[in-house]
Amino acid sequence: MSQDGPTVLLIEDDPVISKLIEFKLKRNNYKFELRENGFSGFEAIKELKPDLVILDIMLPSVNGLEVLRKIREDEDLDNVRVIMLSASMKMKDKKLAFEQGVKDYIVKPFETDELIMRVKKSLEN
Amino acid sequence: MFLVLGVEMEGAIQLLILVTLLLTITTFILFVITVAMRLKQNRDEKRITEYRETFLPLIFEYMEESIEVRTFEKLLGSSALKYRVFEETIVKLLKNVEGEDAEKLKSLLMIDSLYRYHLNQLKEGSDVVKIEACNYFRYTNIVRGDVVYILGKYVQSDNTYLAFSAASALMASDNFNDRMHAMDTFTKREGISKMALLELFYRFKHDNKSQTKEEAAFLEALISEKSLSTKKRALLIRCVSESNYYLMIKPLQSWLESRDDFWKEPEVLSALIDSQRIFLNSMAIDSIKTYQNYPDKEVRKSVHEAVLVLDQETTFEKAIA
Repeated sequence: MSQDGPTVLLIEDDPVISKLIEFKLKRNNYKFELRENGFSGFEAIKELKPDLVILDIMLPSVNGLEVLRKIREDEDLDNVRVIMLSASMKMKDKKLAFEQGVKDYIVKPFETDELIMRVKKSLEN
Repeated sequence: MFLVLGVEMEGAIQLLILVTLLLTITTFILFVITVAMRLKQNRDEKRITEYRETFLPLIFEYMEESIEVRTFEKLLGSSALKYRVFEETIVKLLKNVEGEDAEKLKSLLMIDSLYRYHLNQLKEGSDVVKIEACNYFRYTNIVRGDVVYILGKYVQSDNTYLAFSAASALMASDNFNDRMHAMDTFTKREGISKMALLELFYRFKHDNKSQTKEEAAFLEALISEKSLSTKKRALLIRCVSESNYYLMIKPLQSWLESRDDFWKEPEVLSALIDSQRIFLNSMAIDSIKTYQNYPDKEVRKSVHEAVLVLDQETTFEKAIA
């Protein structure tokens, strides 16, 4: 299976859910990259300049909202598209994420086909 | 004298050597056991990782409908460790996905060999093993005739957690009598938590969403049973309202309005008033207000909260009155 589509970087510490998202993205022709914590995730964003970042909120060391804030503070990364992925349905988290310009906010549990549709939609905009 | 001392010392030295030798042997045996256990643990962890990595891509393929159930049947064989890893992996995925994905994953938990494995666990083994088996049936909601009798027996177990797991699993039975038996037996136990009861009340509902008149009639009889303690009656009233048994609104209101002292215990009364607030039953507002100056503080607090909510409510009945 060759993946020559846009690059999606997933920052997620749960190996089972990462493997599922990897499988779905690769099956849909996206190039996939994974980082398991906020710190290495932010470094990878700067290095790889992915087309889209799927960012979990609950991460070890630096949490997802903090990574998002750092992305927005960095002028070079201003155009990075981000989808937040979280088990949190708290309006406060959603508000914070959308205020910092995320393309979408996906709440766990989710449907994998819907995730792919949202990824596609976020990359179109 | 020196000779006697010499003989005694020789004996003491021999004893010392013997003790040292024994301690050395014991230490060595303990060391060997520790190393063996560690090696086994490492081997198991390696196998668990290996199994998980084998299962995961296949489970994803199954979710895409690229492979069939029999692939897993062959792969699982009869290994208990494989069953455990397979189930844990699916349960972990189930916490993250929903809809069609979740349905497909649940169907994998119903693989025949897995079902038979848990059926055997249910029949024999320690309470912990039985609880594990009950949780499988509780999670998958498969309760066939062959397990109903066993689960029914465990609801009466001295082990409260086993009784709870069995009762919760029995709630998946299509037969109302099974669910009724589980509910009736379990709720009458002492020392059960509200959280456990709430789960049973949610699962007791027909198809987990709607509710039937026969369920409401059963609950009405259960709550008004004379042998229940005041504490238990109040707890059951709270569970009925918090799990949204809307068919119970009328009996709850009639108990609140009853002149029978039976319903006037402060704990029960407070629960009844709270239930009217939870169901937004503004038709009960006048009855609730009669308790505004009730001696018990908790009852007055319930009245205050209910009046705050219900005085604002306009119901269809009020509007047409």
